Amino acid sequence: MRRSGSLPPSGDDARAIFATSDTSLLELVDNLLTKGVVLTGDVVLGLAGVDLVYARLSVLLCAADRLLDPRDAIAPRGAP
Amino acid sequence: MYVYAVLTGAPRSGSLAGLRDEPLRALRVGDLVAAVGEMSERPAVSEATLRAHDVVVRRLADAVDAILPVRFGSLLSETTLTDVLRRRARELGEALALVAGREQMTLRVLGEVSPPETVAPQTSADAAGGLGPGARYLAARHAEWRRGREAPELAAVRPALASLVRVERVVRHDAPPLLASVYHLIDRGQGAAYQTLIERATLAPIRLVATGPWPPYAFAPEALE
Repeated sequence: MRRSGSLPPSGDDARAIFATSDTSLLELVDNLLTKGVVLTGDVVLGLAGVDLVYARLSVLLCAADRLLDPRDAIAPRGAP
Repeated sequence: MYVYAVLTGAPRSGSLAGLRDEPLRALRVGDLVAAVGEMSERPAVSEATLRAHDVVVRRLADAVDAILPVRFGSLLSETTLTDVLRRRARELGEALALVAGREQMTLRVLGEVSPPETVAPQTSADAAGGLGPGARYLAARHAEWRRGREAPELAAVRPALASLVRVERVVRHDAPPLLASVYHLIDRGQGAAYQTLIERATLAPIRLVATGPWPPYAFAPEALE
């Protein structure tokens, strides 16, 4: 996933979004799936815009779904 | 069977349901109890299933003193689960003792990245107090390990936090503006006091965002691996 093309969020943007309901999904992903690993640069850069949070989290959820599926662990799919 | 959590005893509430409304069962193995639901295949990862899983764990947490939430998607046979719980009984028992009567607050530390410390390559032995290259390497690795588990940004708020925080776990991130995630275990019922304290903290330019209380997700060992 390309990171350099995204606008880095200001601290205020990030704070605002961390304080909204979008946070709870981010926190759930962190809590239930990979314990910290999911909070990558891509997700946090996504915090610059609410829509992006969902877009990136969706990608992330799909990736997690594949990771949890042992059939895919044996034959990993190519990166998008 | 699908595993939600490891507990020290059966939940006080009699009939709890799982994320597919399946009845929950308490599988006892020695001193441990696993809260499980019958399920033939793992639920797909989605916002809805994650939320449903979290609701189940929260209900369980309300019905017991100590809970170790199990990672989403843990589908095991009863034999495997029993074996794992037997094998890791001591470690899980210690983790349960740590979280008993407590809940988790998650603190995101936001701010600008401070310039990385310049570590000058040390070429002479006296530069490191006479240590040889192997010892210097190990000392540097240890310092790096320690920095990865510390949150110096919280220094100013620590005296106030000390009365609430029982256990701390820090994960640093290479993802600005997110500098670190700090997971705190606090006594149950202290979430509002914790939130108030964080909201009043003035650490500019560092910003803190606290969420919780959560079941102690960040303090559960990967119980079933």
